[in-house]
Amino acid sequence: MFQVALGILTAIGGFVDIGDLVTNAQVGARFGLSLGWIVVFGVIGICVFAEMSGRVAAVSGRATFDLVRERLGPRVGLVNLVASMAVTMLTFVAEIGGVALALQLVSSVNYLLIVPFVGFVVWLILWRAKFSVMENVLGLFGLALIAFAVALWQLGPDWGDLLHRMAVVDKPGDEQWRTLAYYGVALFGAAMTPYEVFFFSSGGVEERWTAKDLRVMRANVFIGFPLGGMLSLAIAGSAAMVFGPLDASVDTLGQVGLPVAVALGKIGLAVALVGFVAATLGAACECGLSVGYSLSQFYGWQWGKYVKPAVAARFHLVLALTTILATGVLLTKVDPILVTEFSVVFSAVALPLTYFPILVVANDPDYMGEHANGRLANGLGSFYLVVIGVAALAAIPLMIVTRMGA
Amino acid sequence: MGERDRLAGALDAVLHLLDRQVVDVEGRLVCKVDDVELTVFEDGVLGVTGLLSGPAALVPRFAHDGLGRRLHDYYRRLGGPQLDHDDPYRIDLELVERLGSGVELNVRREGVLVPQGERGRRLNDLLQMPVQDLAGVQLGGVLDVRLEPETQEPGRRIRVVGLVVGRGRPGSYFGYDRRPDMGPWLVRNVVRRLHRHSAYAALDDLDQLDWNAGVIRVDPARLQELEPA
Repeated sequence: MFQVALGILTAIGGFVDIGDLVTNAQVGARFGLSLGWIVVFGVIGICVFAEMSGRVAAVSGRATFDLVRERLGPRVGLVNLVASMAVTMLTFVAEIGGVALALQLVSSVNYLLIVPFVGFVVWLILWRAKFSVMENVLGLFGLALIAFAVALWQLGPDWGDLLHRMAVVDKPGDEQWRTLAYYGVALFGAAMTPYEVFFFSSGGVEERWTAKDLRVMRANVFIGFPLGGMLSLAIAGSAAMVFGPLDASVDTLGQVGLPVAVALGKIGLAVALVGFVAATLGAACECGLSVGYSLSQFYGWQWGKYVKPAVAARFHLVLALTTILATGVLLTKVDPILVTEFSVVFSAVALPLTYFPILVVANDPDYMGEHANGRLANGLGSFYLVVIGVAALAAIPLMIVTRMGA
Repeated sequence: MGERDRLAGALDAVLHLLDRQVVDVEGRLVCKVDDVELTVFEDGVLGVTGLLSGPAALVPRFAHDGLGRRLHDYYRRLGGPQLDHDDPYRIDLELVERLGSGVELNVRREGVLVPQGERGRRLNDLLQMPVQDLAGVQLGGVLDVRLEPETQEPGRRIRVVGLVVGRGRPGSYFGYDRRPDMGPWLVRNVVRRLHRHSAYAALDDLDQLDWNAGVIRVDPARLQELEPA
């Protein structure tokens, strides 16, 4: 029971990352909750995807990029690997930048001075910390983001009106439909980031799941992720309450946290900042690991934190080089918020590459035996295959015609 | 991991063996099955004798023409004076305990990968051969290679019994040919439609399997309907 509760709590805290924070606050400030249904839609999608990949990992012991290689072969698989790693790398840069920006809010030290320190801490965690400790500690501290839900409640919105805006497809009068569509794809990409699934399925292998653990896994996914999605909506809702009437846009992490300060004062803001640091640091670790997982699984190297670093030497070398690279990119003074905006859109582009092989293998009785997809999983799975495909094709054209939602 | 040993019955080399993870007796990861070593035995039987791994096995799989060939040239160039640069690592079939969702070895991973030395035939050579009818008209390529274990003397062998012939890439069937009931409906129907011209050719029914010229000839009348392994 304790394990189940812990898993759910860390799933909630682990769901929100820099992409969710920034995108939800931006969209909330600009469009209110009129795109809230995309978040709900994206959360159901990530539940479907994560449940399938978690089930495959538990039953067959194979994680995402094992399956990509086995089903797509080395040629298409390599294209897939490069694209997925590039997007995860972009997200990794954004998350490390997010940690540094959050620490800048606390310390008033320029984030560029904090970045190398954050990179070092991330590497240290990846190298030394036990998998379960990393997961649980950062996930639980990430729960501090509940401050946003409390803030929304304190701001006292008209709940009926809020829900009504989520339920109907409409836009503020001064916005264009294509801008709305662009932010819709961005929100979808923020909710369904590929690394979350790489990490989730590889984490299942790390924790040595078997078919017996399927119920716990499902509880984590079907309770934890939707509650994490509620936090996303709370971020959007509180941004809508504070920024909506001012017609202001959100361009910094400080502005993301402002609604909490308005509603709850200093203490609330302090709690939210703890949440920022934990959520982005946790996500940074997950992204870093995901790069190592993907590459190692593709080439068959020993990976994982369930063995000593000396046994998985190549894996840990990749983790170290990846962290150095991500830190280096941030030191070029590139704006982490801009990197975040790119990362969520390219997440939507890269999603079908890993979704498709997992959907196929989740149906393959050779791998899955009696645990192959049922009607519900296949119905939803096929529906989301089409949706993910459309979002992937639409993402870059929308990005160009709206000039990134300008 | 799956319950049954895939090597105990008929299997398809690309679908069930190629690109799988190799795991040692302690559960540590070793490598991928980048290619499979095929040998023509003294009695003329074509069979599997080992697993191949490493860049020297993987690089040729990208393609045998165009960009793939250039990639292989670049790879050779990187090797320069190294004699064994184009020599893949090999794991003898004797060291394989069973085949589930991965290949499980019966030894520890230390020193298990040894240079292949003299180059044998490879599964990939078969997969990159065009299949033609007797007049030389292109029928397609080899999508998969059907294997079957042989238990009687002279000892355990896994022999090649036939080819899945069709258009498209090896492995692009995703297993939907073997399982007419495998879901989801949408993917199954698209994949089966793309592969509607695929067929099975028993090895004995081939008119020609020329390793040197790299071509397979078969009388289209002898192609059979594809049955699950």
